[in-house]
Amino acid sequence: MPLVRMKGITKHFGGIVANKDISVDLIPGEVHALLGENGAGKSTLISILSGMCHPDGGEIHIDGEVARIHSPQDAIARGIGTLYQHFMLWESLTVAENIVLGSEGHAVVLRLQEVVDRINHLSRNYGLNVDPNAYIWQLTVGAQQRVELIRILFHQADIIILDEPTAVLGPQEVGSLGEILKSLAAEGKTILFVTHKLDEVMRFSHQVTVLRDGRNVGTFRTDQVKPEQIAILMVGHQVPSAINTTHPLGPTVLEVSTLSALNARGLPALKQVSFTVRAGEILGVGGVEGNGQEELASIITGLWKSQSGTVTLNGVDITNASPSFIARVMGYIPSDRVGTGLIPRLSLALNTTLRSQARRSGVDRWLLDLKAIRRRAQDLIATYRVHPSDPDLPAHQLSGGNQQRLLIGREVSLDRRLIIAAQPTRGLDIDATYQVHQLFVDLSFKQVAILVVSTDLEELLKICHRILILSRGEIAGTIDPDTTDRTAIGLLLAGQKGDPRAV
Amino acid sequence: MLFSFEETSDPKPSLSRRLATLLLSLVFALVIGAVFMLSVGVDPPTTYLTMLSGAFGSSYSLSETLVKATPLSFLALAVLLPSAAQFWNVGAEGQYAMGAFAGTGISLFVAPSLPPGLVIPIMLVAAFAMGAVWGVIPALLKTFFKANEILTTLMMNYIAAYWLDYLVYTAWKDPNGFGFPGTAVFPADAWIPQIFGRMHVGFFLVLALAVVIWVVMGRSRFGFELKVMRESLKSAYYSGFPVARNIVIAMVVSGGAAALAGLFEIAGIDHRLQAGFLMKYGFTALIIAWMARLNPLAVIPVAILYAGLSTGADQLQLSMGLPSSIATVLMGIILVVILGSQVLQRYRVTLTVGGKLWTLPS
Repeated sequence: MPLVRMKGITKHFGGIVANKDISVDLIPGEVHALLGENGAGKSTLISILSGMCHPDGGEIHIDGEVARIHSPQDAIARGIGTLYQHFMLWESLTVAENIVLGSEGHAVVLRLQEVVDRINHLSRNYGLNVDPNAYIWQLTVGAQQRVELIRILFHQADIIILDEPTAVLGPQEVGSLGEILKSLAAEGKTILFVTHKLDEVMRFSHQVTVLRDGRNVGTFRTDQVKPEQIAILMVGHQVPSAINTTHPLGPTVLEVSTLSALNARGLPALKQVSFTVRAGEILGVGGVEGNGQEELASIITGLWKSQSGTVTLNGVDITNASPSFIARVMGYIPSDRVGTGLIPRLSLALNTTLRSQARRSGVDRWLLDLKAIRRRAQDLIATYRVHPSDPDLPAHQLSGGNQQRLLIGREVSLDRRLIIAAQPTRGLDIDATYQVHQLFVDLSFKQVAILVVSTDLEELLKICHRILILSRGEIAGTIDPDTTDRTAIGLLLAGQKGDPRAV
Repeated sequence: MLFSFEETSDPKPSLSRRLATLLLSLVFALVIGAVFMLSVGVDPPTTYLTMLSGAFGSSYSLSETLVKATPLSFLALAVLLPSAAQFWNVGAEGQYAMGAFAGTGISLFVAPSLPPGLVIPIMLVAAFAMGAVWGVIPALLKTFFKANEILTTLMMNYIAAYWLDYLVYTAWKDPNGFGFPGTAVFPADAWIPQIFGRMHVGFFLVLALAVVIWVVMGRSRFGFELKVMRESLKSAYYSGFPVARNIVIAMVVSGGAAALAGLFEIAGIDHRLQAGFLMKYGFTALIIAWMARLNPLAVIPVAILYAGLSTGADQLQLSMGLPSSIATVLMGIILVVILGSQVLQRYRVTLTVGGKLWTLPS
């Protein structure tokens, strides 16, 4: 007997359908996973259930009766507790103080000791391992998340919604959160767990509902379904795994030689870094984040200055050239996708004119040709399958994958012979990631030189011809994705200098 | 009782919705103002009517309102243009003063040796150039030394203000002025023609300027680059925009526009530079620019409204013997309410009382 029945939930935002006729039943004692790509409608559905927004159609039944949830307070009164991605905790207060502050309607005089006792009790019962007297700033992200969970339990919620709780956690913490969810379910709680990671669904859930394009495309018992089946449902088609990068390479396009630089705090960020990228080559720059990768991309693209060394592009010295010069000679996909690469509050159409100030893009020396800009944006949107396709929408209304396709599309359409891409697939889902990779590979076939900076080694191994590992600002080694074995890579990442297989 | 806010889906509220909120908040502000008047023992309808007729009721009062609205519009446009690129020009007052200084210098010392038809054009150019210099200094300090422009523009106001004091009290004081602090009256060639009452051609110039700035901000590459700079400086550098050059250009125009306001005041109205010339218009202009939500076209009606309140308040003093500060309070109320009403444009507000819902805007 389900405790929560969502029936025919429909929600529009402007002209966009976020949820279309979604029905989901939640059963006490079970973890129900809500799976879908970015933009599939997961967040909308849970904000409806938690009272943050109102559906245009459909009903929610709790315990057999219609529940009108107009505000988060209504949801709490109905026993629904929500764990959001962004924590609402005061850093300078203790765990117990935070939990008391969230509970209105309790005694005016704070009985802190009582609260501490209850927290200890809950913490022990569910294996949450939270010290009520610890200050929030002392806690890791995982522990802060458990404090939020305690707060939900403190309000005696029976229905617990978790919005992508694993996005902020490391692999071990993900495992222990999974155990906590299972034990909460075993105590009879009803759990709705939102994720876009398939393996978490398979490990932690009893049932799974897959959303795609705002619709429920299937609900299954997790133990009766294969992960491949769910993946296809989620993405809408099969995702190929191998990418072909075998083609002849051309002459050297980018040459970096003995480049040294300081970081923003004045400490050495790069030391004597030298490498080349050839036409048609995808060169990866990997390693643990904060070892000079970001500075390297910024220096090549003119946004940061080097101390010594040279950068040449097709034989021309471009060391420390101005950003306005660089913008005319290479494509750059910055890691800061929204805020640098795109401007969230500007329309898609205007966003496509950043960096491409040529007459054909509708930007004259003096005037903007808004019609031409719009036309060109529509072309870009169609070519790179950006969705929604309305060029007048502000960029922040797009999902991460669509933003990235628009950004890459703009940079690619500039027809530069060199593209620098920093963290190109960070935060993107499986399908969007694959599309970005395919775009890069297609470009390399057209003899474009590509430098990809990424902390995701799997990604680099998949698409790059060679990978440099930066460690403390130095090239710790070069990896040939086809021949280098994983142990050697592990040693490189750990900062052991060496050249396992010179390329 | 519970308020809840839900972000509206349309990113840009429609014009009708914006006008509706504006009207509603004006009415709301007048109601609050009425409560305030009752609390100090003044009859609201008579007071409002007196102010209205004092501001717009006769051709004399209308022209006086436009006379006041002219410098306010110039200065608000001066504030608005660089703010499109997140450069906060709090120095419009000083640039206004320097425009008056340049115009006075030309009309007193250069005009006699100029052909009559050239006096006013040269005064315009000199004032614009002086204001541009005064505006560019903070822009350069910002781009080369990262000096905060709010502080530098503000401090340069004091330099300008004391410079004018020095001129009117000593250096340029009219020897035949019976000790009154002010320069001699300008030669007639330096008088900018008045058209309607004391209203002079400056009013039409500021209308044109508003339209030009509106077009520049909405349709030109320069305006687009400023917009990108406001949204994200990082993005502007990444896009290869000439960030420093754009700030300098914006401040040249801004300082120039503010200086023109000062010139029109002395050459169109006062015909001399006197003590008490500075009326803190530069700061009022900040308020007007914000109430117009940084829209150059909206600046004109807002400035006229503000000027009307101020001339209306003079009428209160004359015919009812009331302190004109009532109008200042009213202006404050209007400002707070209008700025607050912007919430309604971005959010749908739902008020829940005992299970009943009221939604605004519905």
